[in-house]
Amino acid sequence: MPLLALDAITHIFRRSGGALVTAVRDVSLVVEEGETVALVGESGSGKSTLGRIALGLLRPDAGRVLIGGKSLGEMSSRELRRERVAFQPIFQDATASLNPRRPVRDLLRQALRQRPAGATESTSIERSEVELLESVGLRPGSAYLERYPHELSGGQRQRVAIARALAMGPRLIVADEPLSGADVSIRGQVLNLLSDIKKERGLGYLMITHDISIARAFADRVAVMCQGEIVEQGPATLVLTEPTQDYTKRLLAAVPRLFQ
Amino acid sequence: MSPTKPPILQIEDVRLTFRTREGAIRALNGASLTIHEGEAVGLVGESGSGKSTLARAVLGLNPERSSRIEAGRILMAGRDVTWLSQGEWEGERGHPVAMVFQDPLSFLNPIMRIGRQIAESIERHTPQRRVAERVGELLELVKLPSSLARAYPHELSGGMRQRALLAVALACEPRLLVADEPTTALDVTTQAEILALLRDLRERLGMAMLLITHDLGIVASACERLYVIYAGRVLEWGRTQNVFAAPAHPYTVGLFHAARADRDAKGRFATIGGEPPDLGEPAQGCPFAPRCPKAMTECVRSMPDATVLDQGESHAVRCWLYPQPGDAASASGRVVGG
Amino acid sequence: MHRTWRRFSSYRAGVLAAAYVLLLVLVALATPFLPGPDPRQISNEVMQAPSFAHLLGTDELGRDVLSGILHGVEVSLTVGFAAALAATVIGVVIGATAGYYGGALDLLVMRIAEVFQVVPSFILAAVIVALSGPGLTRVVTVIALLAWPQVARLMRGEVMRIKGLEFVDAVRCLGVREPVILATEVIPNALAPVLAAGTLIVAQAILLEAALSFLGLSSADLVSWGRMLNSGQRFLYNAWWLSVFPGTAIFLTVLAFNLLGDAIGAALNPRAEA
Repeated sequence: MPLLALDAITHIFRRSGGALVTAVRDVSLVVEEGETVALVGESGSGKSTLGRIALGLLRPDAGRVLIGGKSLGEMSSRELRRERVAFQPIFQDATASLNPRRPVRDLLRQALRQRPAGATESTSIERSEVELLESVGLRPGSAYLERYPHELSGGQRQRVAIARALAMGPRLIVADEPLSGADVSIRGQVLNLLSDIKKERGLGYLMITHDISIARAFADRVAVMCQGEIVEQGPATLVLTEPTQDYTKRLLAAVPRLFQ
Repeated sequence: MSPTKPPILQIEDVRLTFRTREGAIRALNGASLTIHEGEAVGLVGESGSGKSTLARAVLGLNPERSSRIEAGRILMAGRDVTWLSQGEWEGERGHPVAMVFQDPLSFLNPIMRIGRQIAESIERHTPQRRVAERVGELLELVKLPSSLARAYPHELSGGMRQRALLAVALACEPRLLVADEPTTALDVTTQAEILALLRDLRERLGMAMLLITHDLGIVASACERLYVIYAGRVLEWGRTQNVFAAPAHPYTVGLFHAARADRDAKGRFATIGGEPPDLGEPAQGCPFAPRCPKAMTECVRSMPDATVLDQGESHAVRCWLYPQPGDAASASGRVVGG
Repeated sequence: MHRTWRRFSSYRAGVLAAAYVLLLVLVALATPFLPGPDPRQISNEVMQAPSFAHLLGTDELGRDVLSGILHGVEVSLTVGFAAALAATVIGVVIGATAGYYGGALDLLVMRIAEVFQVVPSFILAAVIVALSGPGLTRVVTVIALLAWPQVARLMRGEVMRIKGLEFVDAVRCLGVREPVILATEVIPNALAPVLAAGTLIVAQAILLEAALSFLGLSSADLVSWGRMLNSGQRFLYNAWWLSVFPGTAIFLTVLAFNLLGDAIGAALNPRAEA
């Protein structure tokens, strides 16, 4: 049973003028337990919309989202709230993903309070705000509790956002461009943290990115999205070295090389 | 470096401070940089490195009220423009330097047609007849259809806007184009198109370019030389191929590893430890020392002079790991202006 | 918070206005203990020009103008604050709900708000008070009814912007219920411009109360600036002080609340560079 299955998803937006735009067209994608799938595409390709649908933040106009075999669309809102905590987001802009009026302690406490009863039984789960902070490398955790998001550096903010996601004991993390907001020198830190988390907890990632180098370094499988459709998907090593589709080839060719 | 061509821009040991309520921010701590006529130079740095401040200083765009150049000079085609007032800059801008920015929308007038904006730029700098004809030429130059002269900025895609802003900048026939992260907001395929356009324009117009970016890949594909800036100081500079072949400063080395998402022997992603520098504190030694894996006691005490790394004087670094100019050990090392 | 205060304090006009408002509040609180004659006290010293005995003069019944203005602070501030508070609470609740849930509810609320904004508020207020009879509570109610749509519109816009931000989505993914998200995440972040608008409503309310009492539509036995202005205007040519001083009091107070509102709005805007 896959962790997440997106089954023939279509999503249509209505522009302010009234025109209809198909953001996602008949897309199917599966993420297995513990697997990292990179969803690669340019802006406007529909990849972020698909991510929001996977998180249950948007309802698709057609198709089904299955969490462990159960369809989100058939759940009551209470059931949906309970089930979807298994999927946690990490956004591009950690500044925007933390309520500016809450100190770190509040942000994490809010998550700890919401965590499902079953999750606390697992031993790999942190019980306090300080433990959470230290598990994402913010040591000593107590030094960060009273700080507000604007008092943290970009890398620290992203770590707090990751800590909050971990508080829920998630099985899948949907990371939407988690490194685009970070400086080059911070990227490695965040990538290491994400792969440590994966190793320790065996969770899966749906990594939404435009950055081929991240997909190459991080993903087990890659799905390439273009104009609302997945044009190619397969093992990362294969798709990124021997693409079969023209669009993938063009995308790879457009990336500036560090070494010619 | 082609010493035959005269420099269009010389920035010499510029120190620039922003006054804020939280205290002074030392954005530039003795930054030096030279661009020769027709040359494409990359300025690479992360956020807070001072790269945009440096670019803005070239055009006098830093706020007059809250920023101050404490020391150093900026020479444009040999003329000292360090102390020009805001009013004097008004007459200078666009000639011989023009600038394009990451977000074209904030620099294009939202309620004026593209063609009119280009025309105004033409008229401001070189009053002439046949303006409409020139607008057409400029649009063609940036590879936009002439019909777009009647479009408003919001009707264009991100890539088209950047082209339109380029046309406005080129209307002043600049000898140096300063481009601040011109492709950061764009998709990779559009980014590749804009970079190709910039290359093409430079060749056709013989224009020099200062490209400010955080992306080493862009420098590789667009620049002949590059400067690496960190905490308001240039740490390393040289011909792109030389720096790429053998990055010298530990910071540059770290940047390369991080940018390629390299892994070390243990399978960890390469990373530069620590936090970005605090520009509120006056830096005594090398600003990178607190994060540097190879830091020594000298590093914290003072900033080393430049060491030239090759005979062609095309690659230099400021780092204590390399023999200092005065050292007996250094055969080839001698000081050059960065 | 510190930053907000620092930004606020860099608006000199705002700081001055705040000091003035604070002074008014102190005067209002101290009304029962104010020195000087009772403003309702009739005396033989009628229509006296300003002098040492009566710094701002007396009216046609020998009542002290300074005393009237000082006692009038209480009425003006009570009306202003009560109306602004009521309008803000109503506006926040309605605007936030409409903006957050959208749909038919939003459409309905915004149509109602439009109606209120199109009708000239002063005429409507005058008609309502004239029909229902004068009285301070009625005046407050009418002003609040007229002013809430401004707050609601503002709140709706802010809520619509904020509900799409990533931090709200992040909390939604924690399984927090929607009404809780609205109350604890969205509204606190949307309040800043509303607070500024609320301050402006205080000014509008003071002005409207003065206008209504100028027309004799407020409570007759209350000492109010508008009523003083009303009775003074008959003697504009021979006793200027009866109109000029209450008029100045209204003008300064309305100005102060407007400046204060602007300064609060600017100070709470984190994007503003002070």
